Amino acid sequence: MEFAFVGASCVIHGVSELNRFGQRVVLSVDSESEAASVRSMVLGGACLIPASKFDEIGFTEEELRLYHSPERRMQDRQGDAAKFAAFQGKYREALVALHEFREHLSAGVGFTVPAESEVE
Amino acid sequence: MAYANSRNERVYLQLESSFGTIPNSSGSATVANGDACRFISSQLDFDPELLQRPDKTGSLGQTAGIAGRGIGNWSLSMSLAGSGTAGTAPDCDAILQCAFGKAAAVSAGTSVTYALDDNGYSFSLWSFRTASTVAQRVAAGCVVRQARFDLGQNVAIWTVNGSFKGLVDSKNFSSLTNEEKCGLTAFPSEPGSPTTSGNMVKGYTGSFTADGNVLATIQNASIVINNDDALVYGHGYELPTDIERGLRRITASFSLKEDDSSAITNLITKSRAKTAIDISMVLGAVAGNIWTFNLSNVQLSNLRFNDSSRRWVLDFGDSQANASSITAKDEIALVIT
Repeated sequence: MEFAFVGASCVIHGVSELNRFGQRVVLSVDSESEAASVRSMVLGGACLIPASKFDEIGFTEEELRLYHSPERRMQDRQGDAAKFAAFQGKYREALVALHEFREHLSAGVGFTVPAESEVE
Repeated sequence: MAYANSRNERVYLQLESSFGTIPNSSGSATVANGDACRFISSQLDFDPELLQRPDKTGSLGQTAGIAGRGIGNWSLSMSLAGSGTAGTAPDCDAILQCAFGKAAAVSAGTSVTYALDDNGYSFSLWSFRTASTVAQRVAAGCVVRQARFDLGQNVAIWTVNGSFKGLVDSKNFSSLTNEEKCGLTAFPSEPGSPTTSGNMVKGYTGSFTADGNVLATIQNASIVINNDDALVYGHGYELPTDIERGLRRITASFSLKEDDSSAITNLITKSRAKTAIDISMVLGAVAGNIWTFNLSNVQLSNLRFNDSSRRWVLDFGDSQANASSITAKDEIALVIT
């Protein structure tokens, strides 16, 4: 399953080093043990959401290039205020999606993401 | 023969739902990738008491004794590292929950807040080392005795220690009693893809505010949470069975360059009068990794005028934060944003 990284930095030893917002990583959740492993990563702090959910939010390539790290966001926020504000809105949406994804995993439902209407 | 390099160690933290029971599923440990936490050094000391028979022998010698009840001591130091993402708890979340006595309040995409409560929480501290054939260990029933956070260094570091119920290790596992196995039926191997998040905080970034005044001449500051917790034994048990909680003591100490500003004068006068003030210490400046410690009703103590530097420095010693009422638990709160 493909995930998108919405955090600042994360190391999955032996698998991946994530340090760019929006970075993709494929993690298998096919077997029970693989699913449990990924579930533990996400609940344990790895900021990953399903890539499909990330795509729904609609970040532009430019946004991902300009604001891919907290440091870049601090530097570039002084630039085009409207551009940054648009990114911030989507960024917040991604973090809320992460929160909901974690709640979903905590409830033991699995890796399917609830549709927008199902989320309270 | 394999040696164990000191750096080849990883620790994993798991909050326990029942004191001293290592999280497990039908006896199989549930320690997993997401429980990993980066650290600088760890210490797990466990040495059961040696019981020696006190009766006379008729000679001046002492005969061999037997192993008695055990209690352990643990300590960890690590970089202060938030997850880097607002609203996501740091890897050290389990320890912070135990230090504060309460689960964090998460505000999605905004903050993680640790506030005080009187609950006695415990966690399991796993230490996996390479080679896998050397002793692997887990300390069950870890409680936090003291946590200390420092401002002013290049890399912000915090140290934490406490006691624990029992040490389970792979070398002794087969000979341990069920009580000593703390819920496990087998000692697990290390999870395959330990996952850690976030970066360190620069200890010289942030701010220090005392009684509403931002003090830019701050040199260093420390906040210490002291929990007077004791692990106690039930009759018939070799290992502690419960946590008894005592008086909590939160203190701040700090040093700043002296000047004749009203802010400094205010601190000097309030130190003498023991007037309670609020203190806020912020560490970090990068979103998702900003640690704000809010202390209430601090009574400044042990003021010392220090002439050991080129300019005079004011050292405020351990100054206690206090609850605002008999029902409030607001001596300290930590907000990570």
